[in-house]
Amino acid sequence: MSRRGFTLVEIVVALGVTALVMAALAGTVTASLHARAAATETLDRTTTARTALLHLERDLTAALPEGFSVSATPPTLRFTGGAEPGARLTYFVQDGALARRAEPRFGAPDAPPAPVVPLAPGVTALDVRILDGAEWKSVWTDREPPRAARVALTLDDGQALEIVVPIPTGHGRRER
Amino acid sequence: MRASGNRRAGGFTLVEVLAVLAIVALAAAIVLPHLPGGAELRVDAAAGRLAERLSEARERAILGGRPLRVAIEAGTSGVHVEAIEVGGMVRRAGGVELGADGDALPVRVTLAGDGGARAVVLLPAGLGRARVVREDGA
Repeated sequence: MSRRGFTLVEIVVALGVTALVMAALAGTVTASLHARAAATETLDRTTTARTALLHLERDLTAALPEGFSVSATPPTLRFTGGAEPGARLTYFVQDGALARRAEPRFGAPDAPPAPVVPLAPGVTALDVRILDGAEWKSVWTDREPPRAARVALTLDDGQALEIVVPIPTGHGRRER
Repeated sequence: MRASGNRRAGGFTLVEVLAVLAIVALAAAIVLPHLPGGAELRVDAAAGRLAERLSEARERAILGGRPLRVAIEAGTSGVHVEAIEVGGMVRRAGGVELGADGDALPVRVTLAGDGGARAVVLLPAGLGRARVVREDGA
């Protein structure tokens, strides 16, 4: 009796138990892989939105006194700036992305419209405030850029990103 | 004959062992086709590297403030570039142009390996990083 082997039924039951344990383990592995993928996705989105804000900062820092406007509905930031020799830039939210359009500063009037570049996906709101020297305003129309701009983005996962950019050519500098 | 008497003491019969082997073989037959093979792994690895290079090139174009042209050609044996699409239009030339202010159109590069394994690298429009997407079905 002590030398009796396993029966077929016992083996099959053991295999079945092993399979169940393996399936449970596989489920854990799959879940952690999904979590990793989701984390990477979130990180990518945040990084991309952050890069877009840095890009906007670089454009704003080079703003020229050539028509600077901010409107709140829909949120739009329009100015001339960016890399030499500068371009007419528009930042706005389109199809759930922070979009940028760069029209040549000295373009032909019949030139085809400049393409819209969706810089960063997953952006639900853009909030631009400008400092006119004394207070933050949400609307601005002038030839001169303001002293500073504060740009806030809201991402679709609820994250908020914000930068404040002092503008070297901004209002008030020459009034000193 | 004492055969039936010895059965319990001797362990499995041939029939029992065969039945177990058959069950194991059946389980393996179900699982094995879903495991990635050599060619598939090579294509996935090549796609991962390409995604990394494209992301890096885009970053460099943006930081450097000047557009960059990236040539895309097969380097790993057994993997070739099947298609390069820019905004849905198929490009025959083996490369893409990356702008200094992000790109208006997404880039899709399809890599194929021996045995029909495929991987797609997607560089989204704008400033984002490239990623490998699974090619499902055909």
